Amino acid sequence: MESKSIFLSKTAIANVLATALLILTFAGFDFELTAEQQTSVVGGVYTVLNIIMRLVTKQPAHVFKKPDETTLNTTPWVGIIVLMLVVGLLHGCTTATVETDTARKRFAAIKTDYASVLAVAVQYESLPRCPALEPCSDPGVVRQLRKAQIDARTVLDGYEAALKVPGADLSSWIRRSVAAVSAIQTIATNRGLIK
Amino acid sequence: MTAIIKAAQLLATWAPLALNGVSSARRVVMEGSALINKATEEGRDITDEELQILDDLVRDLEERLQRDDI
Repeated sequence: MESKSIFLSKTAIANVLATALLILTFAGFDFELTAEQQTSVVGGVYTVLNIIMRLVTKQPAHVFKKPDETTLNTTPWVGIIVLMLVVGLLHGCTTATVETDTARKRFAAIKTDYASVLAVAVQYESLPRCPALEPCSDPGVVRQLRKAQIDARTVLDGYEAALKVPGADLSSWIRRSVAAVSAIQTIATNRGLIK
Repeated sequence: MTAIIKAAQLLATWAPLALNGVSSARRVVMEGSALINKATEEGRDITDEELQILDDLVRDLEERLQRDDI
């Protein structure tokens, strides 16, 4: 059978697109799904796509030269399809477990960042209020820090509650928590308390 | 010259404060990181008890930040 260039192969193109999807997921692109759902959907699409492509494939493909046609007997392809199916399923299962694991650790890491900037804020707050002699704390900055802290606590409580709900969309809580902690960090940075 | 002296004075007053704050923050980070690393080394997730330890640490700091003005 006559082979065609791999660059014209629908299977190769579909796999490149699916791999791009995987890379986007890995890079943290938000599909508005939970991490578990995102991984399962991408892994599932990848697997199904490969099986469909295998069914519609009529010609072998080559990169530089026509492959030896004696290697194209049916049995190895069945093995490869089964292997891809198993690897796809295993990939989905193991990654989902790791992602769930990461959600709680991510929460702990964000809370550690929060505690870290709070420690600096507390140190600043403990100074006499300006216009006392230096070093003193600006009452306006202290008010800002206190307000930002209350906002952050509200968001972090929401994140912690969401952690206990199976299938909850944690990505939005992660985003909001990071933003809330960053708001305190920005106040502290602007005041020169942290760099 | 006056500006240099003023800058040196400001540095002298703020540097110990900054160092103290940074040192306190570093301790907190070390405690939080230790919890996460321990869980990772033991091949498990963070437990509710560990999250509670972290929360106690945070709540203490929150109360100190929100205390009445001195």
